[in-house]
Amino acid sequence: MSEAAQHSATLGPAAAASASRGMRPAMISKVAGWLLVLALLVAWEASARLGLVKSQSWPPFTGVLRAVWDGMLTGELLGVLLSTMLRMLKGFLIGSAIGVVLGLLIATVPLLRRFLSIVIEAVRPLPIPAIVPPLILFLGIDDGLKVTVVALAVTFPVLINTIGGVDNIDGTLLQTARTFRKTRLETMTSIILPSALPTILAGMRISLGLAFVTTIVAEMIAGSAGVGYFIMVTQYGMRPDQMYAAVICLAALGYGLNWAFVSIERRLVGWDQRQDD
Amino acid sequence: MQKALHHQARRWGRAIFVASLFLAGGHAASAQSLTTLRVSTIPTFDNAAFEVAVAKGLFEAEGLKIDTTPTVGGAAGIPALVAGQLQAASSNIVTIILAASQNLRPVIVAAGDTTGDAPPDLAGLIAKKGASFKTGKDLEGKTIAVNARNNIIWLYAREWVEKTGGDPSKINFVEVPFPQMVDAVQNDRVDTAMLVEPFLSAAVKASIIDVVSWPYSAVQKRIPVAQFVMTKAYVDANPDIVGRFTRGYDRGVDWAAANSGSPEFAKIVSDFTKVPADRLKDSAMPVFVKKMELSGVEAVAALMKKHGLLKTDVDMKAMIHPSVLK
Repeated sequence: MSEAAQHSATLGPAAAASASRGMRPAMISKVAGWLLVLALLVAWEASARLGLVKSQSWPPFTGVLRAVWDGMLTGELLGVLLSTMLRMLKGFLIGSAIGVVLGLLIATVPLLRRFLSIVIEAVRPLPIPAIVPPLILFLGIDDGLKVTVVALAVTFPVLINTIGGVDNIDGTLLQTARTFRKTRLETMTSIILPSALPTILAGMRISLGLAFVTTIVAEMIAGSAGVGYFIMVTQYGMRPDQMYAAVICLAALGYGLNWAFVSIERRLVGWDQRQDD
Repeated sequence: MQKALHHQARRWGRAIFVASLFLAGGHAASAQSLTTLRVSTIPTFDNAAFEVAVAKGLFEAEGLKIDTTPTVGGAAGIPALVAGQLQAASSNIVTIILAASQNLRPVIVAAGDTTGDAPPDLAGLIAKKGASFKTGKDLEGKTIAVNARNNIIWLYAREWVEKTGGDPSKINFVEVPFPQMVDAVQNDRVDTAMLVEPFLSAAVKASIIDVVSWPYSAVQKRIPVAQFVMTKAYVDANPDIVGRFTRGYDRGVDWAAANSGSPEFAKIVSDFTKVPADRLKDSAMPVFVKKMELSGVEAVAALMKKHGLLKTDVDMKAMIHPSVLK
């Protein structure tokens, strides 16, 4: 009982934020946030138009917007964005699945934890650009390479958070499960997984950003598809407007992805809360 | 692979589709079917003759279906080639010599391109307008930007410094990507930069920089720049395909030479490099060649040794296919 009370208490502020009384200051700061974005874009436009930045490759923002429009009309920009997204999602799903499954196993089987911890801690900090060239030898330069690299980057935050989430489950819950003679599988699906879910989702949110960056970096290093390659080739083709068009789209996509994930997370965690209640 | 098959199926129908599956295993082609070659390319002017051969169907006329995978910088080329992911790769002469010295056994099967005989050529040493330095001696204690250390640009910049009375060890070489070099010079991040086309001609035309010197021409005429390589194992096993690849490339060289000023050539180059077609008019183009001079390659290797890039002797003759050796 005390566990359920504690749980809803930690969710308290979130619930309060969505209450009508908390809406006003939230709204104001949100508007201010967008105003800041607008101010930065105006500064960009001015710096390019007034020649404040001494550069041949600093187009005004409006020029970049035109390049976004043109790129969408011809379908070229849309095409590379979609191919990047597809690659990223594949890697994200594979990496998340591995992270969650492996994390649950490691957290519940102490022997496995001791066995794998050295490998995990050794591989985890490796920077992706450093491991792409050797991986080319085994995986080629196509999607196989990029999806693997993304999955690898995604796995660790999810894995670590899954382990952490399971470790922090209140012992009382597990003891209760034991008292009711729940099987291992039932305990896993009805207690461990739901209780660890908020932490797992937080790990997945970190991984989503990583997946995004990793996909683009991998595309820049090897292969001929996606936004990463597009950014490189337009830069070397002296088309800074098209390059920044891709960058702007990435910023928008990154924002959108995070927003979408937060909405899903809220729904899932909300469901979790109702379960507890 | 999927994309390539899709294209083929659309264009040539089921018969060729089946044939290409057969050929993907590395078997030799019968006369009327197409052999698919996966080729890593670099979206720079160096590959213009190759892209011409692709666009004008000159490889197809030789029974080759070329599936290109461009990589900026070409870092993926040789590793993927050695791993058998590709059948051919565009790479630069310094990388190829280094690969040969590491016993990766690359064989040049298309002679690629060279610099010209006189400036303006493919790369210039640029400085801020009104800069006073003219020689390597003047640059001692200063900074030269190169796109990457230990590559052809770095090598010829160092040799130019020495040739004009300076000591390369007293110069600070820093890495700046080509697209950012003009900005770096203009904003005093570096004193000079060795910049290539099309950035060079664009900056010269906008008259925002001075060209101090042309290190390539000052050091060596007709430097071999970038070539197409296959592995020795592949070349030995597929002499017929190699011959067809070389012929297709050479016909691309002929076409490029005959149509260098044409709008069609500009469009082909613009399509694969993304450089606006109108910029190409001002830009120096490499000289595309069908044969390589052994002496030219040896001169590059000698410089690599001199500047500590190459430690061992490399058999240059084994590195160049007899059909492309002059």
